[in-house]
Amino acid sequence: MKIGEKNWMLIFLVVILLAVATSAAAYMITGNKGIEERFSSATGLNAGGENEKGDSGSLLGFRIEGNILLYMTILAILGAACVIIYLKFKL
Amino acid sequence: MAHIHLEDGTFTLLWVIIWWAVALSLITISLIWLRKVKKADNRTITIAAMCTAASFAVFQIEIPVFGGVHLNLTPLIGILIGPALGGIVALIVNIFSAAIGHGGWGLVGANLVINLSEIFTGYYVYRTLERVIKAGTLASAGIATLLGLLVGNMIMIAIIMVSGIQGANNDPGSMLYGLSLLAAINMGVAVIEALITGYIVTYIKKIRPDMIQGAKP
Repeated sequence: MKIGEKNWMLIFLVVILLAVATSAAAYMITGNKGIEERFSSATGLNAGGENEKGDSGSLLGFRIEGNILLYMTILAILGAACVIIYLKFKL
Repeated sequence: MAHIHLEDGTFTLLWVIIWWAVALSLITISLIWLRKVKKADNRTITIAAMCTAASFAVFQIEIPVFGGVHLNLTPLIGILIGPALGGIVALIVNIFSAAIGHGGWGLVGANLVINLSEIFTGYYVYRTLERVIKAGTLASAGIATLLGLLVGNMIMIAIIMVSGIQGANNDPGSMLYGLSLLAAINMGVAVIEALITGYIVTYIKKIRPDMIQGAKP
């Protein structure tokens, strides 16, 4: 039996709903935690994680993990490398 | 990129070496593949460079969903440039991430194994759904992303369970339960990523179908 494109979209939507439901259920069980805190409690480590600093350095809840200055520096280097490669190879 | 959010010292030195060895072996295979079997053309290398920059930029941003998560982009990397070059991109992003303090150096090997599984699954599921089954671009890329990230999460749990955590108080059963809940939450974020990947791949396919490795014969 051949499944059409529309049916595959339907399958995709069902999988999305299942994933969201599972995720929401897991979130309600564990409560509101940051990534490192979630890992620490899942594995049974006492530490809250190296980057749990509340809302410091965050913008609308979005936060850069790790050193922001190094992040910007590496991103600038990668951006410059992209421009050089783009100009050299002509995408 | 999905990764183990634990500090250096959580795995024993033996397991750090083992996961680094496994990851480097897979990268070596990728390099040999790229040199001898399927050489990357200039266009693919340019896309790989852009994938590296975009992935690094996105990966470090914690999004305020479910208490704080971040996107991976690994299945998208697999779909766009294939698993061999995708592995090199994942290596670079993981090393730079560790360099800025996002994840420990000792966990780069294990994290790379997780990322490679996501890239590999994303690429082959997309390729099968798009080229063989003809499921449509959006559904193919979306399902490939969800499956890729699901496999990545399962590999992550397996790596932690096999390696063990130094100083952990939980018994293996509780640890498995805790990590399963964590993986379930990650799958909620995978939905966001699946939709983003689906729309990006659909857009690229419309304007430059030659840029997608996963759709090539």
